[in-house]
Amino acid sequence: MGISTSDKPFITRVKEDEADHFMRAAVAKAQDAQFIKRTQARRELGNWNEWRDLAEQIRQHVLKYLPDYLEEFADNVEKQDGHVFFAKDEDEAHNFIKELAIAKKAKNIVKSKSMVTTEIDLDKTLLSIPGANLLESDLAEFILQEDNWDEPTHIVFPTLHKNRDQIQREFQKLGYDGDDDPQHEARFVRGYLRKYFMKADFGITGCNFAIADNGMINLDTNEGNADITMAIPKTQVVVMGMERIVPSMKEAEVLDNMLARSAVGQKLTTYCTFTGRKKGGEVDGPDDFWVVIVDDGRSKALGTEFEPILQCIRCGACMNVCPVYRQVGGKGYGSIYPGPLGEVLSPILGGYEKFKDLPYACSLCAACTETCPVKIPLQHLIREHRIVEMDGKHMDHSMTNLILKMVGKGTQSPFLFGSAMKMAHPASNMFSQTEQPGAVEGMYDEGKIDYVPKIVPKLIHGWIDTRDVPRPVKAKENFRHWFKDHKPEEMAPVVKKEGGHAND
Amino acid sequence: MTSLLDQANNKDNREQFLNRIAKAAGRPRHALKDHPFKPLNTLPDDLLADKSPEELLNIAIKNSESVNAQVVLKPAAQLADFLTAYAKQENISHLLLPNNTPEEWEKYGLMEWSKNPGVENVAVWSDKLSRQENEENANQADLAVGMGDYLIAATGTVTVINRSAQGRGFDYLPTRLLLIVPKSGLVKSTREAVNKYNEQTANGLSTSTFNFISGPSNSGDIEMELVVGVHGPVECTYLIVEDR
Ligand code: SF4
Repeated sequence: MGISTSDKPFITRVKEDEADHFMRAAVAKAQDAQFIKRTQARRELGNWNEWRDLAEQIRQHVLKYLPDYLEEFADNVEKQDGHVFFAKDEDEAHNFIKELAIAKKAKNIVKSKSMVTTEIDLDKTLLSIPGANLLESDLAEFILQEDNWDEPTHIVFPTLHKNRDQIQREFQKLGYDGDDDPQHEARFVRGYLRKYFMKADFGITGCNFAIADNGMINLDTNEGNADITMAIPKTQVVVMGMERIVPSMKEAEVLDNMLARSAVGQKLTTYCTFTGRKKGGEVDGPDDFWVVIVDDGRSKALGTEFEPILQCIRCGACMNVCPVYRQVGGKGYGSIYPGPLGEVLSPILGGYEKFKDLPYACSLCAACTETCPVKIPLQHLIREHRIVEMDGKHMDHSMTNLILKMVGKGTQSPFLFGSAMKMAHPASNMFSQTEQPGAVEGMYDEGKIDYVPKIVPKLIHGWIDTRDVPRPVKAKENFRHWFKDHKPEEMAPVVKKEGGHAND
Repeated sequence: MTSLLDQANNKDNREQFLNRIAKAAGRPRHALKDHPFKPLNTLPDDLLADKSPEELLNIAIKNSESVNAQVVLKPAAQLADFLTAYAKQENISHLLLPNNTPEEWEKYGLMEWSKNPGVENVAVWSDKLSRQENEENANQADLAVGMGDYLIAATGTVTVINRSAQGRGFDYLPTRLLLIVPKSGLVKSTREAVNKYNEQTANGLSTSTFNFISGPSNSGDIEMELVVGVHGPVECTYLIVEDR
């Protein structure tokens, strides 16, 4: 799948999501429920803003000395007889893991949820190995896999768009004969996956934080699937974005607490594990421990105004407060990273050509920045992308420039401006509707424009397609005329404040 | 064609990558030694620092119950009876125990019980068995009774480590997990538990895993409805030993 989840144009994706009433209601419900849980969990901790200062400091410090921390981590993994591979891009990362799976003669590969493995298109690569099986073990990822690798909607709740009946139907294909109670559905998956887990020989996990000073990796999950993935298979591969590192377990535990509170309103995830290669005397855990550290475009943000996005700890809180995400849902973004995080990260990792629309899927309300536990100035970065697109990359310039030049000329000349004002009302006749069922009374007395033909330039479509534009009034009824015709009847009285001046 | 696998732990692979990202960032490498991380506040150390031991225990119990863990407090002398009754009440037919030393069992007065816990099938997680045998035993077990190190008040968490007597599969595969924790292992916060493990590591503790477990496994992946018991244990009990 890679970072991009769709080839359809942004507007088509949004329209499809608009029609998906279950998904939209589910997103709204999730946002509201998470608001209560998240706020409560943060309040209980106390001093939330000072915790955010600390979390921001940890993440910024690590980014500043990233090569040094990665070096320290790699040294410590190697000291435990583990292996570290640095992959500059998606191809290197998934090809490396494929080679390893082949070399280890992997038969039953098991994965636990990891955004970066989706980003590097690992599933598809591994499925191309003849004779190898692959199962996603996270409940949501398993559901997506069984539904023909459906796209995720959210980084924390990937199946937000699916209801229990759809899930029941997917599971029936695997032999499930129970009802649509989520508890029963989950128990079925427990049994189904347990059989597979018991014979798994190659485990793949992501990594919440790599611990530089001891070479361990830190994973946060609620289901326990990641821990079983790290217990049973003899070979374990950890795939991590290169920025997911902290100096020591002390900084990791700070971020674990903030991640759980921000992501799901818990104090800590059910399993918060620091782990590495099996040590002498221990019975289970990986004999063979491999870490793949992935750049895949992240370094494009280093040293730029976009560097703060690498502070992200993938809690999903920004999408849980975003008013645009509430309407569009996760799939509309066309990226595995949706919401405000995705609006900033997707163009960096996947390029502006592919994701140029995303920075515009934002009202710049700043709710995301306010909630981000590591204080990423998300709306500033989104705006920064717009600046790059318009100034730096001169994207979408031709027709827009021409129109704006014409508007400039028109507004400079009193004659042209006056003529345009006169013509606005009659010219908009053919695009206007006077019948407005459901509209607020008096809102569109002259009707509103909600349609323009296809050939009209994109700039104008941009306005009309997404807004209700009132039809211009007749020239002689416009504000200028009204103002000219009305004189004040009486001066407003000036009240003098005590001890002050009349106009204070 | 050279194999990509040869590039793991290869100096060139690492150096090229790190030099490239240092260049992209416009910052020199190896500057960290002069700028170690110094936290700007002491919040993690201050968390619940003003609470008395009784208050901490109450907070720990409340937070543990809020993550659906069952909390039981007993003096050491009553543990054996409690465990026998618990196994009976839950209809346990396959019990999994750690391969504790006699001293470790005796610390809690459980030496006798561990030899005769009153359950039909008893397996012991041990490095004398193969990996597969241990994992199969754990998979069969409807209850594992293991040892925890710390009870964390702020999060309702019990911590365990991986050791030859109690491996990873011991904690994750059985249907129910019961962890015995001494009350002296009560700590304020995850920070305090991490500090204690760091001290133990400096004093020679060697383990591949520090595990912070907060209640039974669960998920909200289907319509965000909380489902308890997904891949890990479906029930989780903290047995706090009041006088240890
Ligand atoms: S950008 Fe901030 S709020 Fe959004 S997922 Fe990342 S850490 Fe969470």
